[in-house]
Amino acid sequence: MNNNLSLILKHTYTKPDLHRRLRLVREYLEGKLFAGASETLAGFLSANGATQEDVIEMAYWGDEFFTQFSRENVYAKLKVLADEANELPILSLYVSYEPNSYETGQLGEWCRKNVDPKLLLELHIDPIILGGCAFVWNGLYRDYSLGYYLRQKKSEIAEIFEKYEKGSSS
Amino acid sequence: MKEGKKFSDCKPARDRYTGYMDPIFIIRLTMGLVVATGLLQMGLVILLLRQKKMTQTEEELLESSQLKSQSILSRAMRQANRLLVTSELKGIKALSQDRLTARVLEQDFHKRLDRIENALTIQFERVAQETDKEYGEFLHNLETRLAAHVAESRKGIEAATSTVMAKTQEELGLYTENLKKAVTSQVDAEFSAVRTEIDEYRERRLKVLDERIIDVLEDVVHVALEKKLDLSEHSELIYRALEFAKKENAFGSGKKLD
Repeated sequence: MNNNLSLILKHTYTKPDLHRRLRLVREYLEGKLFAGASETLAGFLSANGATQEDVIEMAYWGDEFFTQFSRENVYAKLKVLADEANELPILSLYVSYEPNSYETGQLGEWCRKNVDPKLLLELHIDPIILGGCAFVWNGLYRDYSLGYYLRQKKSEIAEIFEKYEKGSSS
Repeated sequence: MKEGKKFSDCKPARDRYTGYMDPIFIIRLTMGLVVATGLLQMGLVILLLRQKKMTQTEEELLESSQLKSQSILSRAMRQANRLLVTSELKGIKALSQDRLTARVLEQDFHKRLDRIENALTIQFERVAQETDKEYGEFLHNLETRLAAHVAESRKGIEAATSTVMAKTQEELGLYTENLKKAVTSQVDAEFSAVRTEIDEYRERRLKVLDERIIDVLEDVVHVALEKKLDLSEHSELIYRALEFAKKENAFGSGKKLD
């Protein structure tokens, strides 16, 4: 894996975050290399809809990361980055609520530690999950949610309700 | 009754009844004879005058001839008058005889007519009586036959009606029985269909109810988890699920897991 991509992925765990940050890098470099823009990285990011985490993360990459790009190699390097990013494995995770950036980072860490060190998360909010999660990995959907278990135990739950109804009516 | 000819129109029948001649005919005959006699006498006078012409003078001859002519004409006229009177008398006589004969004939005719009328009346009455009798008998026979025919027809109609009624009753009973069977069968079929439909509906409702129970339960759990669990506990549930998946090797090499 390219060192640049390894650096980017160190604190980038979701696919939207990765693509947004790559877009910001390309736009910042185009402005700086071809348009003669003199604004700082922080100024550029705040003016182009970057999140607070984007600012922190891209600042973490350091000036060395941006100075390696020149007019001659910027598009080639960015293309390599994009191609390698598209090759990364994706874990689609279905949860019942939208986790914040910290929780997203924690989930990403856990998944890279226990599933694949290069994976990217793709989070989906689905209320029927109720609790727990479901995911798609390597093209397979697996449901470990509370809603799934409730539906699996539907007949047993119905019997319990029926017994309760009969008991209460007698 | 046919009206006969008037008596006055009848010509006298000379040969059959009286033997006398027609007066008009006699008068005409007499006149003809007078004229012929006169002409004959005139011819004789002229002949005599021619014979005496040689011997007598012209004046004497003329006078003589005039006298003779007048004498002849006078005699002829007297004779003609006599003949005429005779003829008139004969005509009157014949006429009176004709009238008398006609009266007799009329009386005879009336008598004969009365006889014929009486005979015809008697015959007519007899025929009328016979006809009336025969007609009465005919009517009586007709009434008898009609009564018999009516009675026979009534019996036939009653018999036919009874037969038809019996047949109709039998067919009605059969139809009623078939209808009853058909209705019973249809009602049974519909009842069975309704029962099946009710069972299916019950099954569907139970299924829907089961689904609804789960939906309600899910809603309850959702609300309960939202109220009871904070974000860290939600996150903990996610990690527990992931750990469970890891234990089941759900993140394996990509091979499909049951």
